[in-house]
Amino acid sequence: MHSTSVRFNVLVTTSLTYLIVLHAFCILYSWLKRLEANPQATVSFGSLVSLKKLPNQLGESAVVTFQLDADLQSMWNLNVKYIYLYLVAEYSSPRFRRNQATVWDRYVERGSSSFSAFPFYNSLGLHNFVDTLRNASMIFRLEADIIPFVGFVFHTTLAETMEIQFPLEYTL
Amino acid sequence: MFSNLSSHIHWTLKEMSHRDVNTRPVVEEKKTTETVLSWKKWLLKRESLLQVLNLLLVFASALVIWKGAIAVSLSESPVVVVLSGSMEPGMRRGDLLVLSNRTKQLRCGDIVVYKVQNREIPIVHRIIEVHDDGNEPLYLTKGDNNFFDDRSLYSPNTFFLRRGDIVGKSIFIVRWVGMVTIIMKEHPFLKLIIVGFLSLTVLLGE
Repeated sequence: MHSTSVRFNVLVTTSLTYLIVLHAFCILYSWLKRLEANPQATVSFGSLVSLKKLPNQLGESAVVTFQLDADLQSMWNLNVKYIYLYLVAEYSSPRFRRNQATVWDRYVERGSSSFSAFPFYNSLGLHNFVDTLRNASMIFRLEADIIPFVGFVFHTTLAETMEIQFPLEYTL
Repeated sequence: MFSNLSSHIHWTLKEMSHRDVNTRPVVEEKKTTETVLSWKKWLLKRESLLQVLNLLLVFASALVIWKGAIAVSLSESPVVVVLSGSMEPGMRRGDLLVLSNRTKQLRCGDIVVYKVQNREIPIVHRIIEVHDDGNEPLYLTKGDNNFFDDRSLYSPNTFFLRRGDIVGKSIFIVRWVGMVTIIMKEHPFLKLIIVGFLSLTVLLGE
């Protein structure tokens, strides 16, 4: 006859072992499903609404519009909690050879397999506090992070725009 | 000479057997009891020592695993727990994150943990801006659930993070596991009880 502590110990150890094995299967499954995933997305630059100098020498700010169409059906599996979609502007400036800025982001919930955003603004702003946006050649990339319930955070680039040239002067 | 020696041995053995007839049972019984007692004492000491060594082994194993994780991840804190809701809904309070500091070039969208001066607790947020001049990149971060970026959280007169401020990039998530840490942090006596209970189990276990 085993004592209570021994029984409790065995119960906890067995439960934990099963839980870890289950998690390992989940991670492996989502890894394999990720390799099969083939998301389709297009992103296109709409227009430059404004390019302004911020007051008090704080830098510059631009407002741009985009159009986005994405089918994320193949990215979902039982171990995906959210898909974090975000648009990154990449450009070089006189002082920095590589500048990146997240200009828009959205959490896509389970069940939202297709995603469309008609002319939308860069809700996070496109700022440059240390250099200039004028005359910059920009590429906007649509990226996605697959956030699982348990396991690795996967990152993928879904689409990107053509190179867009910003004007030399501020807009009115 | 040999006959003399033989007679002497014979005499000695005779005398010894004669003496043993009267004293043997008492002495043997006493000796046996003493031997058993000392043996038991030694066993008890040995067992206690073994239990203490077991406990030390548990702590040493934990330390080795932690130091090994630091060596592999190159991060001073390879595992952190999300303590606030600033990264919701992607990461909730109590989620456990595994970090890696092997990536030299971080990019927009990476979820990083950073430490700033005068703040003991590291912060888990996402990089939203990178300015890289080839020498020392500058990073701006923001919580997914926050309206503003983190410039107000940085050290005074600091508007960007440097690579050295970043403890690691989040590469792995386990949900809810970190709640144990949060509960123990909020109720320190629970930590004592759990550690005490586990130590006693190891020390008194069979």
